[in-house]
Amino acid sequence: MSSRRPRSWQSSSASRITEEQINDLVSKLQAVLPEARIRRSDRVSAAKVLQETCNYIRSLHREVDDLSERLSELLASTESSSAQAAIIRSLLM
Amino acid sequence: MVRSGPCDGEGTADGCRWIEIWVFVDRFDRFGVAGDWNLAGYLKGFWWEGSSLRLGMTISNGDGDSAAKDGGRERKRKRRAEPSLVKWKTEGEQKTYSSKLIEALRRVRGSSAAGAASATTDHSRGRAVREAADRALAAAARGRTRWSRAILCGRTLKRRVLPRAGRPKPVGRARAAERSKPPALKTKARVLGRLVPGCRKLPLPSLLEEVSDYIAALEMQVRAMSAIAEALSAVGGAPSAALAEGPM
Repeated sequence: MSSRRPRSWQSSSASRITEEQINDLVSKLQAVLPEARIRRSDRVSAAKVLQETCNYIRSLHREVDDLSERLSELLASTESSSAQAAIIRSLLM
Repeated sequence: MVRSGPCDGEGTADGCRWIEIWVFVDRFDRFGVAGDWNLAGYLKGFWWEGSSLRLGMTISNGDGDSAAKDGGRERKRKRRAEPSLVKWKTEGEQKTYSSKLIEALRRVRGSSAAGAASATTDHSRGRAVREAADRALAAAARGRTRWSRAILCGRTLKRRVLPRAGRPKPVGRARAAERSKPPALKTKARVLGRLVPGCRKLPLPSLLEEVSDYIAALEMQVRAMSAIAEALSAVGGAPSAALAEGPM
């Protein structure tokens, strides 16, 4: 299976995406990461930022999975009227 | 997609907001939730009052603007602009998401109770919850990002998270000439693209946009689910409610 991408237009548009633009986007991404909020150093390489991003997304996924398990257990164990009260309470907070 | 609900005729001051509210309810129905008009009414009251959070159907304050609604209206004007990350941090957006999620969770619980309770393990229930949460999150994104559309279309990407497999790099005939990105960066970008649903073949700039939005959305998801879990476990601690053994 050969990838018949329209290489010509892609490379021309890729060349328009300068290194500077990529670094700019990467630094914006870095600002979102939790660690970077602590240390704002400009010397973090783009590869490191991408790596940190991957790790962060994986940890977020894991957290969501844990929360899902917890929620499913809680849902199974509480009865509906008290669950409704809890729901209203959580939305009010 | 837009339709009027049973309480039509109230709050005619600002038609836009009514429309937006019923769009959300309609989306619940799309996911198979039987229309619960009480809940819809509650949601309506909730939305309309914004941060003052009064229950019920009373719509007195035409002023209650939640950041999510304003953001939604703004975003309608500039369609091609990048999705704003700020919306994921607003309280209004989180509450929207919580409402959607709770409705989906009720449905999950209903279906798992109806089926054989012994057959559904904790893990499969957890997975059902996770999928409902992700679908609700994608719906909250209102289809403006690639990852949200990918989640809503199908969940095939999430199940198979390949560790390192994948096609080997294509023959670099013309690619060797184009060295705007070092290969290490490309590899990592590819891994990142696999983590975010629907973003495998994206060029780097779009990928980074999607990733930042996805991260912000995930953070909100974690916050919302933690809040719900806290509230539910607080109720579970109450002595009168906790020990109900019989099926509902």
